[in-house]
Amino acid sequence: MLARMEREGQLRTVNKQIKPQHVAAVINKAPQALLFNQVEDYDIPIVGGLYWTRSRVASALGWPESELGGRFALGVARPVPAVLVDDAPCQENMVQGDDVDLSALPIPFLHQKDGGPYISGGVAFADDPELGPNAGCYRLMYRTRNEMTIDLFTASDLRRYYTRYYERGESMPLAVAIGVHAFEHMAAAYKAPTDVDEMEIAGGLRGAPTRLARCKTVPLRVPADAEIVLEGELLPNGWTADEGPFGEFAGMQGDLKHNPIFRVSAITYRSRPIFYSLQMPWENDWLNGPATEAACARILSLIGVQATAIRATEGGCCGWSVVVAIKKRAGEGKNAISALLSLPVVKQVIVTDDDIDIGNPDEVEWAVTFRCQADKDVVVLSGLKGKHVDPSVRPWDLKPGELPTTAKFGIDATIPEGIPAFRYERIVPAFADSVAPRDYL
Amino acid sequence: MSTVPLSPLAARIEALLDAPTYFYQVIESLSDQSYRKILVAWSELRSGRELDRDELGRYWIRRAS
Repeated sequence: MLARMEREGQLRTVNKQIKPQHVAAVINKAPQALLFNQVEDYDIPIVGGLYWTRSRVASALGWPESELGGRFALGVARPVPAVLVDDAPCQENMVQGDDVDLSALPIPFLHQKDGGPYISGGVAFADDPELGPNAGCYRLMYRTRNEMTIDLFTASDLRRYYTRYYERGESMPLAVAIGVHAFEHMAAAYKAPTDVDEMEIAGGLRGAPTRLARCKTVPLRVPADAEIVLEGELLPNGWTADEGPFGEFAGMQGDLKHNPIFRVSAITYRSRPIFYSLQMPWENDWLNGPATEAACARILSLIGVQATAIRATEGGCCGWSVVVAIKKRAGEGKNAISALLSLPVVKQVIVTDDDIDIGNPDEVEWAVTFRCQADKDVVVLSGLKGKHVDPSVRPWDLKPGELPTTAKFGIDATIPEGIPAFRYERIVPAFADSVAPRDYL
Repeated sequence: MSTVPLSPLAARIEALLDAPTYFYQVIESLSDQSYRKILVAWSELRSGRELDRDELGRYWIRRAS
């Protein structure tokens, strides 16, 4: 995956030495993902920014940019069972017990107000006799040489698994894989039903089984081709250990939280591992972008609206804001808006006709400007389910356990009914089809 | 308050935490030390002392009066 990204100009190798606490600042300003070969005081390179843009996600997956949502939907619809292997590169080396030292990993300090260094790109693996295997993306804050705090503050599958152990007063086995392929990472980020094995979805995305290996010290399975794997247990301390603040997925600094402790009993790793550091917010958001686009396609198909292009946009964290181009029949602009706003996260929608290149923000703005009458074409819905992470819902005013509601809106930027299409005829430079600029430039 | 003896570097961090301090200020204040050494000392301090947090996420150590 990294070789393809480098070949396609999406990844650059840096050989100058860098301090781990400076990695995020450089990646945030770089036009490509970066692989730092020389990390001060460490012999493990750091790579980051792999999923920072739509084009990098496409390169990582080896998919065309325009097909991210469609291919994701196909992969989810056709899961492929994983295979268990014995030759696991992630287990070429192992330290365990008192030799475990998390400070030996180049866990970077990422954001100015963070509570400590973070493993931001780990995929956590758990299992439960009744619920089955689970994989998900959770952040972990460095605490001591063998302990980290893991964010299980909000509702999630892993929180559900952990709660069952916690209520019995037992520790829960957990493994965290760092540096997995984009297929595994994206499948783990996908909010699959609890009874669906995310690694089978990863197989569906790849079109071939994910290779899993049995962990050395806990009864779990992890991607055999991961770079580094932490094995250990979530202590039954409940939500008591300080964790955060952390730069959240919505691009804002989060709050101090209290969460469970992950005690690491073993670290397995490749002979020449690379430490993957996911950069917030865009990498985290783009891991969900294709799933958002797939969900939009599904709901539009259900209501019989023909979408020709769908974009989960970066400014809306690849989920809160979507732009859709449709082949419109009368009324379908607003039908599409109503359907899309019913998706849990989507908060704003722009619908255009299919002559608009929705990958070009200027084109979208043009459509909004000239095809929309604000008093007729802006749809506002109030009192829908909201999210605590959105400050505009004033979550601090809520009582404990109370859920926020939110207003959502959509802009119908399709040609209004009754206006003939020729009123929007675009200007075309004279003889544009027969003149080649390269003959003159 | 714990009396577990600390290494010189962990003791420097402990002194910094007399007042509420962001983690980045710890790194900044120890610019003569490598990141890895700071992480090792931080682990030592976490294990040997009880760290408080304020609502902004800053660390501090409550002193016995």
